[in-house]
Amino acid sequence: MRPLTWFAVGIYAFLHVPLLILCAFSFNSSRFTIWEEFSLEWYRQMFTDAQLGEAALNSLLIAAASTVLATVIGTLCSYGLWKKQAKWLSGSLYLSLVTPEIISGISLLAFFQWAFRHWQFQLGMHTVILAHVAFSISYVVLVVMARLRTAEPALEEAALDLGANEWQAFWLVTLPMLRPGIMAAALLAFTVSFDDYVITSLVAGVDSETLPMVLYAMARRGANPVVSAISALIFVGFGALILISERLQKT
Amino acid sequence: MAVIFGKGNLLGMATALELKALVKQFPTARVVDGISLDIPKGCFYSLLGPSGCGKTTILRMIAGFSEPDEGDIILNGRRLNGLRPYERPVTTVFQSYALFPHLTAYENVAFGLRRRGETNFDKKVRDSLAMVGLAEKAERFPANLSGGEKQRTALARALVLEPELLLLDEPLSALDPALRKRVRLELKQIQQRIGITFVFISHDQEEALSLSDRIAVMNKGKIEQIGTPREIYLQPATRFVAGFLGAVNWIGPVGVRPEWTRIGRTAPGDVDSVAATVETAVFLGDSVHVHAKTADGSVITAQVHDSAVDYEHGEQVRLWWDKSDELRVSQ
Repeated sequence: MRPLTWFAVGIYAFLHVPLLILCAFSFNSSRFTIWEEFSLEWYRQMFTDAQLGEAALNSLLIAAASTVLATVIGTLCSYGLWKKQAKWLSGSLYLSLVTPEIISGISLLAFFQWAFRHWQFQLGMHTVILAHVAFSISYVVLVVMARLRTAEPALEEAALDLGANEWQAFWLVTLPMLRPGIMAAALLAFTVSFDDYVITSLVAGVDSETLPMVLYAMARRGANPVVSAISALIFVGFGALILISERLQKT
Repeated sequence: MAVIFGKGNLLGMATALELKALVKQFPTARVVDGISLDIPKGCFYSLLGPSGCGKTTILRMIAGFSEPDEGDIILNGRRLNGLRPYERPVTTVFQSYALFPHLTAYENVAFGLRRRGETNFDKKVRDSLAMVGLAEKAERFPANLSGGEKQRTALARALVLEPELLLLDEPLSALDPALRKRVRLELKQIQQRIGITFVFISHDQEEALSLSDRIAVMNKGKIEQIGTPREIYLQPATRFVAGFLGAVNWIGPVGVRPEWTRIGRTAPGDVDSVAATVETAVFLGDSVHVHAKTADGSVITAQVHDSAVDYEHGEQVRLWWDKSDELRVSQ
């Protein structure tokens, strides 16, 4: 094989071998990273663990809610920025992408405490969802804007020209044209929400522990093959989701 | 019906569109600087000029995508200023066609009819697609249509609404040259058949000359001349018009087109001629362009229709022309 091929193989191995090892050991009967024999014990434990089940449900609820909100807000936001050609405003949105998560988390926590100071303030699902919406919006804008940038500006004018009002032009022409971009954006928003740990752990309450938080706590207590099993399952789940979305975008 | 074109309006035809002292100011320039036009009903009217002359801005103001700072737009007696694009009985064929990518050719054409709340539009859509020769491709998406087919879909989509005025924004510029000539002919035939007033924007003088009943030549936001294709080509009012519509040899204030410039090793005895030295002779198949330099250093081009004729570099020649072929321009 040529050097470049070796290089490519090396990079792919570096990216994927750790995940393959993780998947393999989730089927190992031993607690430790020494192969004994094939077993589904850790998967059985995973599905019977009440705390894990609750956390998984929380994660899915939070991801679903924040994805819907962030996708709607982010899509409208990028549409407005595109219409007004507001370069500065769209540039500043990307700022939140490069802000370290720990800073975003602390600032959101401070914001919630300040904003809710007159009410009985409590951290919980609602604060986690709001925080996730906040950081997901810029991802949505990033993806939808990329689609808008390649769009033909005359399309909406053509719709108006043919008798559609502004609302119909958006609803019947621009939105359908953006659909693949919006779906990709929603998928990204779902992913970043589902796997966020740093911000979530800062703004979550006692009733709103998410899967990454539980996994982190379990992993810190020492090697636990249940963690491997969950990770393998999430990895396969998201992989399938991405394959489906690619297939959808092609049609 | 024989239509005679005069200096004023088309004989016996009412005005469809009237532009009155239209002005549009952009931050850096006055792109439309007091334009007044009368466009007769059923006319194929071209706004011809280089890019940046203001023709596209005028089109956008007629369509309603942009509002004039001053002046009136009156279509069949009704003032259009301030109306939204969807309130104007005007449709547009866009330069990029702007076909909706998620809709089939059929649905693109039906779009405007649906917006009007029509329900029995199937026959209209099919007839419209048949008129442009696309009956068989109704179910195709724009991505699966060729450039010419897209252009014709855009035309069908705009015409199916039976507008009082059709605007065409350089609709042929995205086609390859061979196709462009064929579509040009089709466009002219369709316009003659349906009789809708066309306002055509172009920077291509050959296109405008071959299609139009009347042409307004524009430069820097102003109209240089309005006339029939023959008038503006044969009797250009300004130096700009003469030069924009075709090649001109300028001998002082007098212009002569290369095709009317005669060349020979000797001139006939009874005509005034100019001595010149041949620079190059360019063979073009159906003609030869001979570029020759006169004593004062200006280069004159003579178009020789006998392709067999050839001249050597450095050869001494005489150039002459009929006095009646001279272009007399104001500036």
